[in-house]
Amino acid sequence: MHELSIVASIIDSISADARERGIKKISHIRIVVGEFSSVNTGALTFALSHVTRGTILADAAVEVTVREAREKCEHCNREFKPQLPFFQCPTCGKTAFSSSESRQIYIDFYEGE
Amino acid sequence: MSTWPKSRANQNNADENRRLLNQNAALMINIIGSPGPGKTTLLEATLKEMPSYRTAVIEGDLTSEDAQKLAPWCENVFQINTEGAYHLEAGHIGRLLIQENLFSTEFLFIENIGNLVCPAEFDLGEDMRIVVISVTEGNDKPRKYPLSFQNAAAVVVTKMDLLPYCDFSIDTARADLGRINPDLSIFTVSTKSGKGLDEWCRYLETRFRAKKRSASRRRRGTGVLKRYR
Repeated sequence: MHELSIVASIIDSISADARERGIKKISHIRIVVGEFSSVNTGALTFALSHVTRGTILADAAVEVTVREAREKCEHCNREFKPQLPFFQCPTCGKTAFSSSESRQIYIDFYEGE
Repeated sequence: MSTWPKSRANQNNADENRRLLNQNAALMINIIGSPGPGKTTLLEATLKEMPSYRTAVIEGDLTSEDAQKLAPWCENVFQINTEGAYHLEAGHIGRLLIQENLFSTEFLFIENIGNLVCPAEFDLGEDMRIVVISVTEGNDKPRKYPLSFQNAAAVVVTKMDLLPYCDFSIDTARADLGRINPDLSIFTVSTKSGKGLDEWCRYLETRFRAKKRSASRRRRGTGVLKRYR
């Protein structure tokens, strides 16, 4: 349920950047959601399609993609796909921390004129 | 391609809060937990144990009940009503820090909204995040919400006086928490009997003294206040 405030941030960030660049209308945006960001992509897409009315993003095609988590074990350097809940390295069994990438959501790009 | 934090506005505000708090050596503690483990009661007991410090509390709450409960023990209790949102954001905190000049406090406690998912994803600029769990909630919380525990500094297990009546194993909790985050400090507390409170409060004091030392080593800047959205 925090998707709405994230969408408000996305609109603010893109609007501010577009204003600086003199862009009036945005046609396409892509948001990348980290696998462990606790963001529900359905709720995000829904919020993006409704809250953007009346903003610079009103007519933009919205693409939301999920980025799968990959972690590198600090102890043995093995790359692996972490699993909830323990994020343990399958080789040495040590705990890995989720990287900031897997918990982030970011604006990959936006297009407009 | 540039990467943007989860919420750019939130992360900028969190960084600004952290910078200002670092200049003033105020220790900010973000307390999260599900509804009902006794976050407010722990805070009340903590404030009673630490009367000689300048403290402030920010309550994320729909009602003023928690703020009223803490008011006898702390002069600076503020309530933020998020009006249904399940987490506090850095901008909420930043506005209050500036309006109420809370930088001169020594301990700034934030009691987040009762929820183990959303608050874990929003940095407020805190020095440490504390997760409160109670023995009555059962052993599954760390395993079900591991991300909340991954970036916490400490876990306080409350309602220890009820342990004999609950199917809760401290050993299991320690083992699970250790697997999720080996750096976690774990405290077991009963606010009813007072057992474990001393150790918890001394831990907070140690963290505060460490921050004060590192702040006095840093050259103090004047600090330009940023406008919060």
